[in-house]
Amino acid sequence: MEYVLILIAAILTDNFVFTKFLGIEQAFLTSEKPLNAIRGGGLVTGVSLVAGGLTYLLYSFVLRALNIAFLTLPIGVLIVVAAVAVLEVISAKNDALEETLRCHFPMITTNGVIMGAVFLAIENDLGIGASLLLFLGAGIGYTLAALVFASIRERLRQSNPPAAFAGIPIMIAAAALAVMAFSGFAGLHF
Amino acid sequence: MLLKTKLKSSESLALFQTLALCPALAVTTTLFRSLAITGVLLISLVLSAVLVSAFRKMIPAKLRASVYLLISSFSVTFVQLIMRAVFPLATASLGIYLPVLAVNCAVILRLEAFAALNTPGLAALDGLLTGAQFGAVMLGCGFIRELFGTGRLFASPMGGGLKVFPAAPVSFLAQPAGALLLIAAVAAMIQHVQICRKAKAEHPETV
Repeated sequence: MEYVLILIAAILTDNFVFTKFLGIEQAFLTSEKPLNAIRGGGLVTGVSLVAGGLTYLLYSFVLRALNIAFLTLPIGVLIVVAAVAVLEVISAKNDALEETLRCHFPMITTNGVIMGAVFLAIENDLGIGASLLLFLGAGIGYTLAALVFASIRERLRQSNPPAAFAGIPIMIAAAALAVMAFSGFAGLHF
Repeated sequence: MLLKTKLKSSESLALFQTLALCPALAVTTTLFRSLAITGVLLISLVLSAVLVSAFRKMIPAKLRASVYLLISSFSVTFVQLIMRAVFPLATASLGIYLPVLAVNCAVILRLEAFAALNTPGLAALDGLLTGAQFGAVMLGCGFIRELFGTGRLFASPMGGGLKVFPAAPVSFLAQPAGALLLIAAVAAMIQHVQICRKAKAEHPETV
């Protein structure tokens, strides 16, 4: 039951994009179309699960034991960069796959969701099973947010806002409204 | 790969930079936390700008984004260790937002756009100016959100602070959505002033 709660919290009540604003820029910009959002979200989920899991394992069994836990951040960044590089090599063999995924790669390394989830797991001392669920939930939550933003942007393209709000301000305001809507999940208790 | 080449129009670059500041904006519920994150951002930005510019001829072009990320994560770690020793309370109040600053897009983009092309002295100056710019946004946001979101000013995590209003006038501002709506309102205001100025320049007699 506790594990289900962690997953639901990471996806809905404590969604990284909506409540912590981590990775909000990627969620907004890579989501011109809903399909793009799902692809990017899937990539982030995969990298978050693999790289996050590896970083957490390294932290709990090597770095903490050697008393060099402060190196978690650079090592985590290195693992994420390596994971993205491996993904790039794999996708390079398939032209169609590379074409669809290429625009997402540079965005993943600077995605705050992955490192944020790792440090949240470390801060709360979750243990490996719960941490993996948190990383999975963070990725799914990011996908959900990207999907919401993609739909908002599609709708905004056909709207006619006042001149002062046209362009960037209306997008940020719309994002704020989406964030507000998601804050309704904060009342979700079990 | 260059992040910037992915953002074709300048409008999406501006949007990207505004939104890239958001992880930092989530922290700015009080002036105290804004000050803490501004300090970390400023020092780590100057440090990584100097490092990137000092090693700019050795960094292979293909790997530069990854190397910038690593340099930035090392400087944030360095600042984090010092901050934890000097201001333990401020560091604890930042939580996960402090390490996440290392992978902030706004920082990486700035390193790529300026520090990678200039000498260390110039890069340090640019880091200082950019950091001050971001810091001004965050301090302003923290001031407004603390004053109207909680009705107090200069409160630290231990409590206290100056009581300005008897109750929180706009408690919504203390929530995450409040920060975004505040930024949207400010951006709309700036755009409105720009439109007015443009109209004045084109038709000076009608306005």
